[in-house]
Amino acid sequence: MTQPLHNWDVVLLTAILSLLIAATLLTILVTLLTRWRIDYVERRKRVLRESIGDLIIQYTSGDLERGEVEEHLTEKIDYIVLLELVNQLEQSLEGAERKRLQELMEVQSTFDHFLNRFETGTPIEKAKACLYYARIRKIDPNHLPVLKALTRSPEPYLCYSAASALMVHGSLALKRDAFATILQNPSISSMAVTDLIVNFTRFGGEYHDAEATILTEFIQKESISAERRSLLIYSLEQLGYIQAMETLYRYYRQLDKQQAPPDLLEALIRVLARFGMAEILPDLYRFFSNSPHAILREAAADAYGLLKAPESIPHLHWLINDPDFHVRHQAALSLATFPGEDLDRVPSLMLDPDEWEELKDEVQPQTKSSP
Amino acid sequence: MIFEQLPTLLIWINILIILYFLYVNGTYITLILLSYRQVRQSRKKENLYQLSGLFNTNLYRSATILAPAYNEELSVVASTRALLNLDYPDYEVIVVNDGSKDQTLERLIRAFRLREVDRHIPALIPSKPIRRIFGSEKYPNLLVVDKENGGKADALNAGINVSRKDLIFSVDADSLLESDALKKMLLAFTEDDRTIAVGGVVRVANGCTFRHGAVENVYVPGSWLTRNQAVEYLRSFLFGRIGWDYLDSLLIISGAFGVFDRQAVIDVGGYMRDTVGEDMELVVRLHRYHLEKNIPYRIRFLPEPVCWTEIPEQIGSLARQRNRWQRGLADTLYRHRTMLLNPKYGRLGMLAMPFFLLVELLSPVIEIAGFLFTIVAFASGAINWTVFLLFFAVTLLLGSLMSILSILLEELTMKRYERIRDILTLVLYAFIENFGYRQLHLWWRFKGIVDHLRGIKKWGNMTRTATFGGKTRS
Repeated sequence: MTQPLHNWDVVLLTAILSLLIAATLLTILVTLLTRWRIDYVERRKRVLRESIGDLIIQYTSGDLERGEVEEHLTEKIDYIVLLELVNQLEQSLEGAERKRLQELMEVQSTFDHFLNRFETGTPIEKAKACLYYARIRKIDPNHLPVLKALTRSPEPYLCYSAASALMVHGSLALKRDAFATILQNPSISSMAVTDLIVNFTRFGGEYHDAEATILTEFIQKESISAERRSLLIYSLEQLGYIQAMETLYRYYRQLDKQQAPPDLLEALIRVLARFGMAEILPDLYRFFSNSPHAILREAAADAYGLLKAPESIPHLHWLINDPDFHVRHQAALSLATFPGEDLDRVPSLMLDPDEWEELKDEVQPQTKSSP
Repeated sequence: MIFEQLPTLLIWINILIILYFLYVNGTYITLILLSYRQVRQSRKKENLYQLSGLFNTNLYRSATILAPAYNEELSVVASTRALLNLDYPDYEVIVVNDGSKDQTLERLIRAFRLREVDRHIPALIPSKPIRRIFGSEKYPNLLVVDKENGGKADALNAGINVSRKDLIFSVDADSLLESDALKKMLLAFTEDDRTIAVGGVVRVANGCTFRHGAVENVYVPGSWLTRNQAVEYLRSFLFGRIGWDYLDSLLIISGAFGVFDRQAVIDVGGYMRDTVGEDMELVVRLHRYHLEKNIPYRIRFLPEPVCWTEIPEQIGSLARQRNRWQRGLADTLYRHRTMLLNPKYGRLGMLAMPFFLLVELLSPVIEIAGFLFTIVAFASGAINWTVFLLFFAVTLLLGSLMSILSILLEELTMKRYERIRDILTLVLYAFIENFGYRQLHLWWRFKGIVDHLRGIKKWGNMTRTATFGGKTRS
């Protein structure tokens, strides 16, 4: 840029500029080619979607046999379009038509395509193959050990996908092993674990006794984190496993109420109360109305409202003056559900009068309108 | 004496300019390449978490969408209606009317048949007093909070206090979310329990057509000013942020479109109310809090969930917006200056913060100093015009190349623009933006730094054009 720079600067800069011009032109060219290619593929897919869509309609309505559909599928893109259409249509069909549609997922070439991914694919491709397995009706039992091994993969999404397939096709023992592995893997998120729990029970037996036994067994395993065990406890309640109540209560009795992880105790209190287990009340009065953990005081307030024992009312009066907002709010909500209990007569010594008025206004209409 | 030393001084300045040039462009190119890798990975992983069972229970994480509105009478009804049509099982929408002086609240009351409700609001984080809360007769998951004016951050804090859900989703009242955006954002929380915040892509709505609260056709905007911004959004706000996400050092989640773990936001004290860059400041504070307390966490940017936003059509609005962004950036970097080049904060302190300081914040100062230097060099006769012009051409072309690379990446990965003529327009504007727009932009940002030093903390007004109310293009 300045005089002390010499001719080699001009040469160098000219070379860089030429290079940049070439790179810019090349990028523009690639951009346009990419657009052309994408448009071409989309146009082709559109045509294919129309013709394969017709085949699917004829097949699901029983006018064609599977072999006849397969005759029309020759290239890889045909199977991709077929799968896309089946995925889209699946939710809109019911009964026999839906069943026939699902059969189309099992055409031999699609099956072979995913099977190959187990051999040669990257972890992502293997995960997609597992999810494909989770959606079809039957798989070769020889693949179950492969799926089991994949639940130990270092990639969390692959563990999740393999476990999803096992939840559909595995024996109870295999599902149990897969679950034990998943629950001890901290890389798998709580949401993914919950999804597996729901599918575990969805594909289980009619009364879910075996599933409930397995889940309660895991709840008592100290090798599994308290957070995961809390998740299992809430899942049991959410899935309506009333048969697990006795076991949960026995486990609750065993726990040291002052040393056990607060998350775990909170889950147990809330779920046992929702199951109507009034036997927990003495412990709630003794340990949890005054617990140093706000989540446990809040859980106790919730349980008092659910169990509705008159002797809980003084405890709720106490908790209405709690330093934590969530505890106060829950206590007011619970108290308002007691017949004949008037929040206007509750002593609110520690509360700001405006806050207390607001809290009452919010809580009372809610509870009065509830059955 | 000074004139004797001038050639040596000029050589040193030359060297500094070249080093800065290499640093800026090297980082941008690296970010674009990293973002390509990140988007490809993300596309491959799409749909891996199917969550087929989860949504049959109430065990997923519930969400509150917070839409602060100040004088948004033109767009607030359409954008709220779009928020109520999202594909997500358990969410509520809280529109916070931040003491609007126009008909924002009245329009909401009429459109959604609002009536006053009682709701106790704990003061978990500070905000100006709430006057009234409204519920809707038509939509049980809609709440409208009417509060005293306190600015966007204050409105968001009020909304967080009102919310009782797990996640909070901040959107601008003049933005429009795609219906599956919330579910896609949730995937980041599904993939990794440590996730506390997720940002999504903000795209330019001007020029597009909308029907029933959803985008119908994606076109480039029509004017010179908005087209330049469209190129800039692709280069800096899309691929730049994806690149930082790859490095786990994302410093900004746009205020127009971000999901946060509500408890994590409460733990750090909510949005900072005395800054105009509250979105960036919150993200930096979340990083800092978690790093200092050694709490595992992740802050992500996802390339797929999309929010459409109306960008300024008038030069005055754009100037005010960019001035505000620059002041917000300066304020955040100043507040968290101890993180800069501090190894305790890892890549954030050693890579992201220096880049944001030297490039995003100080580039207007450095570039204007460069112009002044050129004038001095010209006056002193020390300039070699051939080299100068070549260097100038290289800088312009490299800038354009980066924009075109971003457009190519858009084509290779997301392909939102439907027509080839839109792509050609964007490519053309990758060159055109170098003449006029970049210089204006530089000046607005420079003025932003000066205004920050003068202590100005005003937001400035924006002009709305009701983009989502119907078709915007004939």
